[in-house]
Amino acid sequence: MLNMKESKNKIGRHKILPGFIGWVRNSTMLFVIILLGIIFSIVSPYFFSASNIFDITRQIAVLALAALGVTFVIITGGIDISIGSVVGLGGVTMVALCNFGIPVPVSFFLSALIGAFIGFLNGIMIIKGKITPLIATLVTMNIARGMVYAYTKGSSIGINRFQDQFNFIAQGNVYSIPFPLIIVVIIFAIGWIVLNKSIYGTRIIAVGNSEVASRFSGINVSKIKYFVYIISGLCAAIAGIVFASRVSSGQQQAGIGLEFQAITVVVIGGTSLSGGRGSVWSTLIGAVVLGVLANGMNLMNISYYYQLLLQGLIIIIAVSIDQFRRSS
Amino acid sequence: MPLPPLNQNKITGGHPDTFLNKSLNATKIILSKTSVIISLIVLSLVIGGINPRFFTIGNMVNILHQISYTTIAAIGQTFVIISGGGGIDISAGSLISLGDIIYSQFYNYGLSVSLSILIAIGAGAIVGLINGLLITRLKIPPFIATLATMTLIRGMLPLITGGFGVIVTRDIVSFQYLGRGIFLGIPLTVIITVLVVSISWYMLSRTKFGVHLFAIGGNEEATRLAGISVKSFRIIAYVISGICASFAGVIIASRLSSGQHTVGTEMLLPIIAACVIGGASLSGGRGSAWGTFIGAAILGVLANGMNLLSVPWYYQLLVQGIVVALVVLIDRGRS
Repeated sequence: MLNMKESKNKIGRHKILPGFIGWVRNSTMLFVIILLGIIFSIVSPYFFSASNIFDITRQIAVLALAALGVTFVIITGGIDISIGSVVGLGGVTMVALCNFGIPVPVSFFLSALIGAFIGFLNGIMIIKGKITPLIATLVTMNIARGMVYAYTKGSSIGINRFQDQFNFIAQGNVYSIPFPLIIVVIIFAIGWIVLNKSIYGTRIIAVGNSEVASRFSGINVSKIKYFVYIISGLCAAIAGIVFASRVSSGQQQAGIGLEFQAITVVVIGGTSLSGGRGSVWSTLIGAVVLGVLANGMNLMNISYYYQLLLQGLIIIIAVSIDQFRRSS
Repeated sequence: MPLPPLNQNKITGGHPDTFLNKSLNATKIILSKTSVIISLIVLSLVIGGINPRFFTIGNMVNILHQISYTTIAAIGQTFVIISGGGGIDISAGSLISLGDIIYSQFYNYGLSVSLSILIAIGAGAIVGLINGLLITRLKIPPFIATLATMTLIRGMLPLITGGFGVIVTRDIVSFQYLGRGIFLGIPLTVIITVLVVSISWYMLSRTKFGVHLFAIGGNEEATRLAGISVKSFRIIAYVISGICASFAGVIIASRLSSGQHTVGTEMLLPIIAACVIGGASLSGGRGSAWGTFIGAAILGVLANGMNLLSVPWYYQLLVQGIVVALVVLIDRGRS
């Protein structure tokens, strides 16, 4: 059924290539990052040291990975608020499997698979059950978190086998480059290839622009939707594994509130919640901006709560700028 | 609930306003809510069948009391969801904390109970106004706008309290009256809840305001072309949501006699779930006050039942998630 909103968007919009808008937008963000970097290094000489930069990458790895997954969902016009719980689930599953004696790489694979499964559940509820994404993912959010609580029975699980390999995921270095950074680079690269260079990416953006038109173009909209929700679950689970490795345990509270942070990152980066536009690169930049801000403010001993205030303001400013640019 | 469609009844013929046709339409509307009521009844029977203590008056009243906070906040959320355009108020959770803290803090400063409540609700109204303006003037999607205000409030709260919770040090009895008072044998919270739901039901189904609100949610363009200010109504909806959420926080504060930062954070999901179980559609134009009440009741019965059946706390969230999934699936499956 044709949506009034869709036709309204099409009529008044300048036909500027999304790539160009994205470039301008991202350049602004890059400029912001550089500016922030300069400010913070003036305030604290420690900021620009290699160890601090690498610390930043460790800190934002979890959020960046989760945000990447949900970017795909948001581009299709949906939303996924279950990723916080999937982060917790992925981490706990990883620790549990390792403790059973399953080697780390296999546990990694299986835990990521659990995330994909939750994504699949989301897909079923949204496509077959015809439930709106917000409600469907709200439900899976509870179910996934419930699974975590049910398994851990209230306590957190420490890792007691394969510790070295397990801890290496988030705490190790490869030629003095933090391993999480390598993971982020690889996964973001894969994401970029999928979105920009594969037919799936084109279809994802098409579905986000207009489901009706996509269906008439022969795109299997249902399959694409399953695809993005599974990706989202997958990325969230991987983020959860990294987090668990960071704290060397499966925390039952892991990821609570993360979904809102991840969506913040995606939106600040420039992806629109109504779908059809967005990129992997913009999400990465959003994560870096927030990470740099948080790190710098910590170095300046600014209370976490001021950071929250600033985050709220940034969301409003960033999205307003986008809206004004779009409606002119 | 929306007014019945003005169609001629094919079976009984005649004008829609005949008694027979009006009764048929009313039955249709009641039946459309049936799946949720049936779920509630089935759930109650199952729980009561295992542990008959469920059916005592004391327990029933207890359930009503426990769902009072969620229901009041969810009623506000219902207005927002009905107003359409993807309307949702994510900041409700933090607004509850805001109401809680402001009520406690200002009472501690020496203000009277009524004045403290007024300020708390006023703060909620202001945040609702900000939400409404962000969404209608700056055209920020409701999810993002209320996410932003939620973040802002979360950042602001500790600045009000200096970091820790607020402990009420003055005359506790009047402070607690709202949350613990009993009137004619019924807890005040239950009375207030029923009042709020009734007033909202009346507003939504029997006033022009309600008709317009449903119209905006159902078809924004047509309503705008009909000359109704979509923006004003949506702003009012968010103000109502802000008032309801902060009022829920006030009640919680008066129950616990302390102000905590985190009271509201885990209440957001039950609030939205209650609205949706009750029949609200997130695309707008559908929803009802009593439906939301039933939705909250289902969640309350479930939680109460699990406690009565001694289900360990770490299984309760999983059970809740599965039950909500079933109820929503069954309900959507019908339409």
